[in-house]
Amino acid sequence: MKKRNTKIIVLLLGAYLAGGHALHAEVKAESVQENGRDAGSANTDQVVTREELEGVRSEIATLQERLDRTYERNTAQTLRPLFVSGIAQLRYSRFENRYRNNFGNPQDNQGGFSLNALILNFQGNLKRDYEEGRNINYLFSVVTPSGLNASNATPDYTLKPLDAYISYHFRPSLDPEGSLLQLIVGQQKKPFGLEALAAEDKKPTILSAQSARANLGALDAGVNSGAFPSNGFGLDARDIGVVLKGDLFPKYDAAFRYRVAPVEYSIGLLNGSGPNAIDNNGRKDIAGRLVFNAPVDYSSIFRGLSAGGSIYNGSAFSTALGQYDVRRAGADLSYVNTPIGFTYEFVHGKDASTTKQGQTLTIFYNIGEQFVSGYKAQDRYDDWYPTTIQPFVRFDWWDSDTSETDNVTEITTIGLNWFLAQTTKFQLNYNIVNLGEHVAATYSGPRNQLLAQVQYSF
Amino acid sequence: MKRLFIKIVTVAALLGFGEHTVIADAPAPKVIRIGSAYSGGYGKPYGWGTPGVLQDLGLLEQEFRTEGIEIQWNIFKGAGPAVNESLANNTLDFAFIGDLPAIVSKSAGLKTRFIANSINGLDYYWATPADSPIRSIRDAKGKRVGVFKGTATQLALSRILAANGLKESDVRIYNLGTADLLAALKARTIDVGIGGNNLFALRNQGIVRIIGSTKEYPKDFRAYGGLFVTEKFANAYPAITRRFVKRYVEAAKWGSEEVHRQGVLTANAKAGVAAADFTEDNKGRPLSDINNPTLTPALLNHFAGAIADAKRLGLIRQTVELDTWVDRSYINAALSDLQLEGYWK
Repeated sequence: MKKRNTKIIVLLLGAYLAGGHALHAEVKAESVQENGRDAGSANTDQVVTREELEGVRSEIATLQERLDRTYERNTAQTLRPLFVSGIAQLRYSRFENRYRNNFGNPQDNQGGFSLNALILNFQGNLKRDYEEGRNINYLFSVVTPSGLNASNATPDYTLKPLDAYISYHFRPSLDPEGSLLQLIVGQQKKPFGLEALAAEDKKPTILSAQSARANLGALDAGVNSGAFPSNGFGLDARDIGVVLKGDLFPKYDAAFRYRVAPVEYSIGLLNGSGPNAIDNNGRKDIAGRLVFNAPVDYSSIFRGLSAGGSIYNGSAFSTALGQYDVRRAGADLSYVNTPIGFTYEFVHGKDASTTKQGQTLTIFYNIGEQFVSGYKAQDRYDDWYPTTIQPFVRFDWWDSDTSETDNVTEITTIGLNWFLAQTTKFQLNYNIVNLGEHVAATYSGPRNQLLAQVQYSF
Repeated sequence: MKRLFIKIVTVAALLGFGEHTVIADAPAPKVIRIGSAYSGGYGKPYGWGTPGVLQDLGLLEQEFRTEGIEIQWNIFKGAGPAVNESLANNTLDFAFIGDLPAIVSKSAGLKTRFIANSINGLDYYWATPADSPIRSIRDAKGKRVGVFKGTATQLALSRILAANGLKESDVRIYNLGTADLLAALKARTIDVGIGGNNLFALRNQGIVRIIGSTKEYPKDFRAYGGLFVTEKFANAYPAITRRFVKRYVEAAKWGSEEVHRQGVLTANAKAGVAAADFTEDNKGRPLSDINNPTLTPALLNHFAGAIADAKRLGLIRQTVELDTWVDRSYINAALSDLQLEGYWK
């Protein structure tokens, strides 16, 4: 970018000089008086000679040629605009001692350091509408699935596609006062739930809610091999299909640069077979989400209050069950009004004849300006960024089969997120696990757990 | 469920307790947080105008150094709206902002006091791409007009349009920040851009043509702004607020003396305002007019008119009572202490 700017400046300067403008150099002599500062000025004009002007032109031509060659040789180029970014998670995990010896292989149960996830994003636009923002955008990302719902405890650092889609804005996206409508085609998140739709770097806890996770093969996948009670709904897993999303009746508070749409909606038609897979049944799954946001001014105490509902209707196939129905319904309530906030989510679902449900409540408090967007955009010379500490507590319940009594797994997480740089956060979580009697009877693996993670993105 | 209820109540009580803890006799603050909307748009951590002179002279830093109170200058790229957002999130104690954002924030319930002047009539300019057929603002009907909405400029635009027989609905308005507006004029994605003296650089490069300015209109069409303090800070630290304003008035006095013209140029240049642009912009105006910190009748009349316009245009729902918003005690005390009563006309 610097090289490009330099090139533009050189070209502008060259054009200016080539245009034959008279060049005057103004030499200002400052006289210092009171306070050691100033009091007046004396100006001396000097006219540049033609020889000097030719010399400057020659130097600019040389510089331009050098710049062109350097640009061609040393600068990576793409066919379309490309923005590369990534997220990495480095994790430390340790289970409570009294459960460690329950394992057949103690070495597996020590916990330890792990490289949890690496995500690499490539995004840009395929067609840019400068006037209204009716852009065609693309995103392609790859991930090491070890930490993202790894299906077993074996670390897996094979890069696999995570998101791969293109999107088109049917309505202008540059006008904050207009409603939005966007079509997204490809592998993407399902339009269901609250936490599952949050970006990876915006999730408060290190581990996702039990209901959102695709697999609960272990409290911390990749660290131990204990078989944990059952599978979650896999809400944060990607799927392949088409999603239409938009909002209605937006309200824009220009004096606070605050936009809120009272109604947000999204509806998707998906394979239902998960990421990187072909459809394994003859039906398409339908997912939809509707959110109502409090249509208030920025300074209102109700700013950030939202209520949402989600549904999912589909089918799946397994060798044991054949093709069976998959039903999900969810409701959520959130209030995020810095410095305080909470989110609550309830998900109920049925896979074949098994009914499952989960609830998650997260309460947090922000000490710092991480979430005040206007504050972060300041004129500063250095690499300044406001740090923020976010203590939180989460209560997470999961019942993998509601027909069983005492079947709830409850995880209470006490933790904090420390946003220590623009794109870096340190997370500390302590998970207190309480198993219902029915679950405890069949599970003797690790329970309480300390997790520490550094997540950085670039 | 009962367990859940107990947990929620416990956490809420803890958070609530922390939020409402009251310190009866507040000790001196560790930091005084100042927000300025007067960014030059060039990424330099200095604001322009009279607050820029105060910042450049370092008078507040001198004043509070011995007590170990840090002076934190926050110059916002997002101008008035970003300052409002920060005020709403309790991240600022003092704010230098223009008329419209100040009025909207007050109307929205932010508890501030209007204690001094910070922009005493600054001209706006409107420009088109150099080869545009548009010759006056009247020709802008149906055209794309760029303006930084939510700032004082928005109100000025509506007045300028009205004076030329146009309404906001007669043009296609694009909301563009300081730097984005310049880029849009360069890229010709707007037909008219309204801004300040930052348009001069593009004109000098032959990229735009300035087709009008508020110099041709009544003075009330110009930009005005104020110095505001949060009620929370003023109530907790009345003496420090008075000392703050006294130092501000000292800076304004320094910046009002023609002998310091070069110093004023230097202070503005730090924010990215070229000396030539400042001089051209303020041609014929004495520094004592530009840097007048007092709550002049012209300033207050302008704010009264701006409140009425903002209400009429639907930019605010609740009107603002100027009489109760304005607090003259600080500026009067500073003028008295410095024996400057009658210095500014």
